[in-house]
Amino acid sequence: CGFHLKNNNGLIEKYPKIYLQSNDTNGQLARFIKIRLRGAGIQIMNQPEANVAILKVSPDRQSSRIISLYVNAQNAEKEISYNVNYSIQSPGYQTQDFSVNLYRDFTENASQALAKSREAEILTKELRGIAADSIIATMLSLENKK
Amino acid sequence: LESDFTQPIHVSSVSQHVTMKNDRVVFQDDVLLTQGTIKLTADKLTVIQGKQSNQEIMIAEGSVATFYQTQEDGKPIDAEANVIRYDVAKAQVTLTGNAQVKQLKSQINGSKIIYFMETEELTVSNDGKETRVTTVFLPAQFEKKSTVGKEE
Amino acid sequence: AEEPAESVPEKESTQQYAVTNNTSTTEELPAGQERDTKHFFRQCYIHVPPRVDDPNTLPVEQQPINIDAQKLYAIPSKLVYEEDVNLTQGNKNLSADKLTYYPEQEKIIAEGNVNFNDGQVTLFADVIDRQLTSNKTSLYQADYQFHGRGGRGDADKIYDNGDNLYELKNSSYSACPPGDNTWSIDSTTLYIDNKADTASAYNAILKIKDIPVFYLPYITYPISDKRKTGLLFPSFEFASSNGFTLSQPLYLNISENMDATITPTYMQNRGTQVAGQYRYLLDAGSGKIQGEYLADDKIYNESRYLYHWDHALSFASNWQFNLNYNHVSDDYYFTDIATEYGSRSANQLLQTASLKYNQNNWSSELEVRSFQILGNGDTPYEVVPKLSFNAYQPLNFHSLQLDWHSEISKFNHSDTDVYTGTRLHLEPKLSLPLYYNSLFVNTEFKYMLSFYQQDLSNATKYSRYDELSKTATRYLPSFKIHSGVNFERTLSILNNKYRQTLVPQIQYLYVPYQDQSAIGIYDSTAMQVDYYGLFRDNRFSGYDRIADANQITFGVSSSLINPQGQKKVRLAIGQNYYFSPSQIYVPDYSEDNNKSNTASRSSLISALDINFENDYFFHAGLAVDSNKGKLKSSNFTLEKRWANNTFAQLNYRYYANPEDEAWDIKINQLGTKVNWAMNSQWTSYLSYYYDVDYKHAYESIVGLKYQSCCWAINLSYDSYMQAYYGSEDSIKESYETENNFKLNFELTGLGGVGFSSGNQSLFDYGRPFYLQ
Repeated sequence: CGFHLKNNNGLIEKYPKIYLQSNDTNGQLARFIKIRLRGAGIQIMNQPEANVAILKVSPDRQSSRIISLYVNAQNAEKEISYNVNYSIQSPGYQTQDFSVNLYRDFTENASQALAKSREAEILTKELRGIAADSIIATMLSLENKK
Repeated sequence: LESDFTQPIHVSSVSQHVTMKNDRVVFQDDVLLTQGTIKLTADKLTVIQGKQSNQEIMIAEGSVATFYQTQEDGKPIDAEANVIRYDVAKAQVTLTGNAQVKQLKSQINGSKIIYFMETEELTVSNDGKETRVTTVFLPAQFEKKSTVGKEE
Repeated sequence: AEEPAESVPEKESTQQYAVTNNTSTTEELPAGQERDTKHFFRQCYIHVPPRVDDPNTLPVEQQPINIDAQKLYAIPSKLVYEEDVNLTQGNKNLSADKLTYYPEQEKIIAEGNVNFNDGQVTLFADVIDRQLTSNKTSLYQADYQFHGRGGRGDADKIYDNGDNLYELKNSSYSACPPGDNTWSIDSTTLYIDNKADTASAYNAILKIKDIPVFYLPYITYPISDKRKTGLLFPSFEFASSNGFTLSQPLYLNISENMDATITPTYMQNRGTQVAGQYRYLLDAGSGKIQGEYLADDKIYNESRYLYHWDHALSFASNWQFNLNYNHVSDDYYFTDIATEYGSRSANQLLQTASLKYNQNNWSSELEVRSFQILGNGDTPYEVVPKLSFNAYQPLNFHSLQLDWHSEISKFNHSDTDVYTGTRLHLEPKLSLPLYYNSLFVNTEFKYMLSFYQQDLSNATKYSRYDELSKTATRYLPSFKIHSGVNFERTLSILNNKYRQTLVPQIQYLYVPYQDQSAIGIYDSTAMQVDYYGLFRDNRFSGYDRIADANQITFGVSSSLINPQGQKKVRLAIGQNYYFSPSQIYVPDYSEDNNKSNTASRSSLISALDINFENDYFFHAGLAVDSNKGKLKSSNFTLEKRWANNTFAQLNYRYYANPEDEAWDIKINQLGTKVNWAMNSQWTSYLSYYYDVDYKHAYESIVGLKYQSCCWAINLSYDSYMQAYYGSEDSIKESYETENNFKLNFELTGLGGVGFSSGNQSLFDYGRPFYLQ
């Protein structure tokens, strides 16, 4: 059916080393990105160096809006939106800006508010994992513009 | 410099033509006049004798006549115009015809510029609407503030 | 609208999710009244030059200055230009009758109908005194017009600090086009921050058609329409239960890092409420405290109050303290009184504080968390406190990583006849995430140890508490291997070239079964499953139940990308296959017929997003219980967009009521939102949400807005169902509806008189699909 493995030039060939710039380097998103960079065999520098690519990740933002009510007109589902802006600057090329926007539904239940708040924390953790995947995917498919 | 005016005047040129009648001397072809730090170049220089020495009036003409002098504070002044009239007695230089004066990094253009050497005053004007007085101050002009004292 | 972005690296268009989200600004505007700012701007402010940022990268003191004129008189200390003088420096230019330049101080003084323009603002003045190396400029008897927006006016003196901050003395400000004196604000001192788009005025007098209408000692207001927080105007409304309502915020600027807003609100049928919000920014952290107090509510016959405190502090570079505390006096506070701290449908208030210490590869946190629950249903446990320690240690074999998570939590409960307990949970995890160009394989091995000490002395509420024991321990390993491959092909549809990605994923998860009925439920509940959730390794949140699993998860997601790199279709489908049914469940102690799950397959989860060419958007999300073929949950949204922010959206959300769930955990809601910009002035909008089973409307709003260049009138009728805390059998006849009639007059660029956001829909408008 015409499907073939996506095999553009590899991640390591493009970014043998990379410097991750984020003002929350100990935060969850930065840690997930580092795991994936290490998983792809990329060396992570701890300060910027000449001809080393720079991945700059700005603080992520979350918001939610009510999308449905229970029969008794109390809050039922909320749509959590997650957004993070990042930029990739390969040495000698222009910096390119990207952003990730993810949306997920979350059902509230007042009588289990504590358990639901832990569920919300898991949703955020999963969203950060998906954002990290998408950042790696962008690095992979990036054609650098002079 | 102040001392320029007491210096002797030397003139060199390819040819020289003296008409004693009205005490006028005309120098032709790449004329150079020096007096202290003052340098005047032109295609044709007419020197009119004054009653005593150092009261001459020099009229330098050329496609471009140039005038150079180092001012009291050491800053050089470079001027050029079609006609430069240097009145030694009044210590006044009048440039007419796309006149231009350059000081350090600032440059003033106009159709007529009068430069009073003692007070280092300049008046610039133009003769019609089409040409304007323009001045450009380049950044170096600002760094001067930071380097204290004499210009190196 | 759950959005199943592939959770595996896949070849996306190079223009990856680049959100050219110019709607982001309009999104901040109230849902119903978004207007196409570009079209509107052209119509009202044709004469206003566009805002041009200084393209010159050189600092101002290195930009050359050109001055030309008819005449110049120069001496070393000053140059005097006369007749038709013109000065340019970078993108700034100035013209005047006479200009004196003082080279020593790099200063110029321009006199005689001076015109100054720096790309941000155009100024006409009698005299301008400008410092050339620092951009600081003072203007006398000046008129000003901002670029790119309506702001204009005049002032005796304007001081421009060169960094987009202007101080105006005895000035007037208006956002109306020239010749339109609908409104203006005169003030003795006015500060305009062109970067933060805010203005703050002292001794401000608001004039409507040059008639002084309103005096305020000090006001701040937005000077762009990006932020809708209106000027602190009186707002009024007519509501069926509260009657005529008038509220007038008063702004107090205490010091430069502290300010407050006191808002008295008169409610005809209830009395006068006073709300105070105090905001502070100190070295001990920043935050705000809000208190609302209504003495003896005439309808409720009691005094009612709300308080809120949030505080955030980061200190000594690794420490972070956060506090968020909310409390209301009674269950009906949110339904009766409008407040920023809870929508009318809110029924839980968070009360939590945490102290976090973050290091490069370890972190620790101390947290307390509780909730105020409205209504008389069950209430959750409180965490008093939780202490957690996490460490992340990369090992030097490929990307092998050892993670450690441990926490000790003490749970308490407000009821006196229930169990309480303390839990210690330790969780080392070894993981090997491998990423290749188009393939990833993540392998994880976890070992979970939990120790419980439970106080059952007065746990008498439910008979089934006798399964619990005073101490309980649990040791469980968990093994997971998760892999995904990226495929891609080009596809030509209607003879243009599309790119289709296909990302199949597979995961095997094994967690042995261990009887956990001796352990009480503190912070665990069954989590909702969407496409991402399929790949979790525990179906329950918290740690009180760890689901046994011997299952394979299949998932596939595919997107179609058009030649311009936009995602036009996205589909994701996934399901879990259980080799043996998972026996662990979260018991509901009040019910006796808890039974474990016997299904061999989880429900089939699918999500579809389509963006048709002609501005049709469609989204669908389905969860089908494959054993019984029953629909577990579904949601659909269809939207059509036209130009000038006209759109119509229809959405439906359904969540089946499993037999053992209470009646009030059901959703069967149909909603629609329409925004119709009839012409550049008139916009009508509609928002209607309806429950299909019980046939009552949650919200029905209809409104009309007339928008002129610098003012707008907004008329809306809003009828909504109040949150109902009674029992199911009496809901049909005893739920209450509130009918509001709102008229508000809005000064564009200054926020509103009356409810400034106009359309107060509970359901904010949301782009149902992120596919642009």
